[in-house]
Amino acid sequence: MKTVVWMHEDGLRPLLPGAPAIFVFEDKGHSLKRIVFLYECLLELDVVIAKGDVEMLVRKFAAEHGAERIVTTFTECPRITAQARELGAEMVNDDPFIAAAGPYDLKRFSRYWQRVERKALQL
Amino acid sequence: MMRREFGSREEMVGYLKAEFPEALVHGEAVSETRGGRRAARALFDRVNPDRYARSRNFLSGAVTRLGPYLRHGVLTMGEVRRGALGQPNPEKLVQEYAWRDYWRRVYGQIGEGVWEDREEPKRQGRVAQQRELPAEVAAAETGLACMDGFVAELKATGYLHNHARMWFAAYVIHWRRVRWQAAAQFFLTHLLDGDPASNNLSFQWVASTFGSKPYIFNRENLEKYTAGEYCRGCGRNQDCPFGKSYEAIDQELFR
Repeated sequence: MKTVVWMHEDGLRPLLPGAPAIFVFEDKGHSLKRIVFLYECLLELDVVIAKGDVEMLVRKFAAEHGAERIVTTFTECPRITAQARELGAEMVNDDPFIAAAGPYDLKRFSRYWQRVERKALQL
Repeated sequence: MMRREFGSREEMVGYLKAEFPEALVHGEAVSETRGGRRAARALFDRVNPDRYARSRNFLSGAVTRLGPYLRHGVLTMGEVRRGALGQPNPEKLVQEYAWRDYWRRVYGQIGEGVWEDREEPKRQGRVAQQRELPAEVAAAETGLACMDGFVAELKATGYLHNHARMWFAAYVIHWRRVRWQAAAQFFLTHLLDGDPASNNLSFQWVASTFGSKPYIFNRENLEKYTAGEYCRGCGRNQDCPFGKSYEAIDQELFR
């Protein structure tokens, strides 16, 4: 199945080598400092850089490549997650901190750490 | 489609200023910190978990500076964790990485709720809280060399050492009685690694709306970890609001 990658600002790394990728800037109130940083990250990657409406531009990009599948990097960001849902994009958690087990008690860090410490300190 | 070819960084910055004029309301500074995986790997290769563990609270300490690259997924959390584990004494650094992972997991659970108090503050302050960051704080004009220095550095570089972030947050929230959201937004705008998860939830930790007590500091603490860099030339040496014992500050702020 033909696939394209939607790259967003929480996942500026190659996700699916060989698959066409697009990044879309939208107005997030970033400072020039951050925009320059993001842009330098993007220039090292094989990705089309665009600006405007994320959903419209990613859909158009997928159609241009005849792709039926869109993949993107997993993030907890609610806005990006909602956009991915709208796009029907598959979120890939390619290299998490530790392999998921859980759910964890997140009331306090100490409780979470107690549960994950052993796993986190193992190669 | 946006441009990908530039003769120089300067040319790229000029192009981005024209493409994103709305960003210039936050200033025209550009950080020396370079984006991209090459720059990230160069820092990653210098990470020394043992020196980190011994010196990380000092402004001159061996901190990793990986924040912006982790924030934006240039490096993965798995990658930096494995990198630390290949070296001596990795526990402290891995635990600090775990904080980032923890904040993200909480963000995944509560989403935009990171903007609201997670819990009641543990010690109520003496007056109602201000909604805006005072103009002289944002303009680095309080006369406090430390706080003004932090703001100037943040605006110029997009970076602040974690300890400086904590001191600034405590000053704004507890001494200036500003709602943590205003300062958190200020940080999010200027930090290259600004992230609603780590940033807002850390502000809440300082405020005690996500923690068991408010975080405060005193001059002795700041002076020690900055090697006196700010206090030496400070014009407010005689009326330093932090120049007291923890007990006296606690009394003054939370009585």
